[in-house]
Amino acid sequence: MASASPWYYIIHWLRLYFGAHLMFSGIRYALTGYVPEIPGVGGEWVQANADIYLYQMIKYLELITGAMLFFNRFPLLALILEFPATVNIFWLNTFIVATPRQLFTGPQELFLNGVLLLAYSGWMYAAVKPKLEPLWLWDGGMTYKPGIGDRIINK
Amino acid sequence: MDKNKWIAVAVCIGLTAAAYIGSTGLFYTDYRPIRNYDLVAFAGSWAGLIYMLVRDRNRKDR
Repeated sequence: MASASPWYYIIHWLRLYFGAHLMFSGIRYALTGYVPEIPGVGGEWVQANADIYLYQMIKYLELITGAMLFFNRFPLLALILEFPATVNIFWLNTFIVATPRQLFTGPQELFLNGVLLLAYSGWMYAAVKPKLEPLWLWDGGMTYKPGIGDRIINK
Repeated sequence: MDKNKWIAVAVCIGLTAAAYIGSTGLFYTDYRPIRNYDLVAFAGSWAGLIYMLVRDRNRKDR
């Protein structure tokens, strides 16, 4: 993305906003144990998640991915790690809880994570191939050789 | 500050306004005062953007 384009700064603003938003949510939970009161079956779902400690794990994940995004460290990895939680929040707020404000905050979460994933996914483009060969993470240096996506180990 | 940076600032003001309206319920549901949650996100994003604009004020690479 050209650094002179308005998009460059808009995307960084969104990254900082989403990062601060997630970090605040995670830190608030870590310090106060705050769990929002959600009406109906959505609230039961969140309580069940808290009972099996999944809710706690997601909050600490938010803290970590939020810090990664805000401080611009491994932002694409942070966006991928956060996406399952984002989809969960989107679904719960938009279709299950569906009070007027949640009809905004649900799509907002998906918008932030989704636009940022689009903005950073150009880096993944070369690796998203229909017949990609397996390549261990620690052999990743080979991706810089010509012919990415082919049987590069035999070359 | 060139024209493109001002466009970015204007869009970010629009995004801030949208997030403010969405969180408070202004114009569409019962008003709820803005939360610290939102204020921290606004402060973080604007501080970061201003830092980047100051950092790039003399940047010539396109």
